Amino acid sequence: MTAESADQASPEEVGFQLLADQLPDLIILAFDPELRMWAATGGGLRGHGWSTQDFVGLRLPEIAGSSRAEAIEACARAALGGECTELEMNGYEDPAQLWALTFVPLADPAGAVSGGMALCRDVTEQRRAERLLRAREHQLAEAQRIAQVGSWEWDLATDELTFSDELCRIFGLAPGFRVPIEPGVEPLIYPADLERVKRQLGRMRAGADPAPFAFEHRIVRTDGTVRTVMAHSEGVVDERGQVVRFIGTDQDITERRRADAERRRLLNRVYEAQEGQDRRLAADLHDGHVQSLAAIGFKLEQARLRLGASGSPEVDELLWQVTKDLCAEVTSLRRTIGRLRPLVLVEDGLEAALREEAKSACNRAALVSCEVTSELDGRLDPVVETALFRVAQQALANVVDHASATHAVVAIEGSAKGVTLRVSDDGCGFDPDHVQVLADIAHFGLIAMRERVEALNGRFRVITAPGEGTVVEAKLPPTDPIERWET
Amino acid sequence: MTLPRLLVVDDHDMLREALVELLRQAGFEVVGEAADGADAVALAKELEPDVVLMDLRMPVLGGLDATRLIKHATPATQVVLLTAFESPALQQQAEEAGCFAYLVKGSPPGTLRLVLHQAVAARRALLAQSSPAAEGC
Repeated sequence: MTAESADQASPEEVGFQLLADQLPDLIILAFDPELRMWAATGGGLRGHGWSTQDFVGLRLPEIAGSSRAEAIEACARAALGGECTELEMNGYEDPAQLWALTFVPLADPAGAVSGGMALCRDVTEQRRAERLLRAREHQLAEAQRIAQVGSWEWDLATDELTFSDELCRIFGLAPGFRVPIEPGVEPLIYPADLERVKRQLGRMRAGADPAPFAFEHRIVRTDGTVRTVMAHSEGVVDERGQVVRFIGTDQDITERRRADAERRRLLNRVYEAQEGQDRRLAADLHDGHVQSLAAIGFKLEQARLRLGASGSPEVDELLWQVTKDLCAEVTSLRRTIGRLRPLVLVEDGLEAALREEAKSACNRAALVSCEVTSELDGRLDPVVETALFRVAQQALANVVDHASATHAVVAIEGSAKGVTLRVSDDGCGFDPDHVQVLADIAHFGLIAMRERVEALNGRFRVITAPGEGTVVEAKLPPTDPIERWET
Repeated sequence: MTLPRLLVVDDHDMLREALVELLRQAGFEVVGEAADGADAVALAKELEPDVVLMDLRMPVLGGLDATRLIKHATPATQVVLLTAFESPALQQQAEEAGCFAYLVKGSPPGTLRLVLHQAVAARRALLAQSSPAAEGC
């Protein structure tokens, strides 16, 4: 087709014209071998307030002024030579606009190139969106890098796992890591955690529950170093509600865990030092003061006996009263020693010590019963026994002082997952969210109990509500302090 | 009837001396003193007192182990444990070791005298059962 024949358009050409008119943002310019435009169409003309007449008759390089004329002419001539080329340039009238031009040859029915077409698209918004997207991706990558959070996606249909660049960095992998989830992830997981991770993956695959979850485990970087990550994930469902993939993040929490471990270590040292100090104080009181005071009591009694009938009744009465007061003080001191260093805990273990503490609680409060149940088989680590005893001691003190309970139960259970202590009562309970209660928490010793348990990598919780009693629960993990609880 | 014969065992010198003086004043014959469990066992075998007033925690040999050995050697000898530790578990262990009574330091002196007299009576009753000729010793 040539400029001369444009006026005699065929039905196909008319149809093409209509179609082109409907294409938004597109301008099609047809040019002859002299690069003179003989047709201009497309929805972009109308969108920019132009008409065919604004272009027809002009030479193609003139559309962008002199600045890009050479480049446009080169592309147009390349099209005349049978090549397709592309060019991106700013608008002539509005330099903020960005145009993408594709030059294609235009052949006659015999196949000979008789001209060309320039397909011009206003890509201003598209490029802006692309820039924005790139900026966001960059921001996301930076945020992931700063927060040490990488993201991943597991496509259940293909079973393929894809890592973000930051996650690749966390694992020490090259960017763009993508593997079948099994066995692809196996070399990346710390061997001791592999079975647990596999079980979690199995649950995700089998249950296909899209609910969010968190999971902590260790990884092995490609350089062999071991890191700890906290994974958060949730399922993505299709229109039928079927989980089609899981998306998630892995946050490198190694430093946090190290800090936690250091905090626990320091807390442990504090408690060990405190226990040691209590032991020394108890020993000093027992070996020194109690014996001396008891001896003084015996001497007072001896003096009273020597006075006998010859002494005045007033002196006898006074000596008897002083001896009685002294005995009371010695008894009080002995009980202090018992609290500082429960001998029964050292000699007979946790269950025996809990039974004595329960009996003591019954004597001090209006408790009808304070039952102790134990499923322990043998003795526990002394540090664990001391921590659990101190927690039970404080919890029972709270029952005595605050709960107005009639029944209390101290239960201790042991399993492969660790040991659990529960002190429950049927007392008044409390609202754990109540401001006054929160203010009293330190008074109740709850913080000290929690710290004591967490110092041993355990978990502590209080289950209570007004009028519904209270359960204080302390769970301590197995002896290996690195073994963590499943989330 | 002879005076009740006691062996006083405590590693705290001041306490032991005060006890000895008090008990003598109260009409007991203190036939011996010991500052550890091993000496207590040896003296109990040698002196065969009516009652051994025994501390719990002592060097060389503790009060419970000493009690077991004394009860094994001279079953009629009664042992009264006098300790600063108040513990039902310990009380149970003392009973199992063969102690006649478990007293805590700080108990009224009258209680101590009463328990010692009961222990002496128990010992003498035992001896009387096994050997009528021993009655009145």
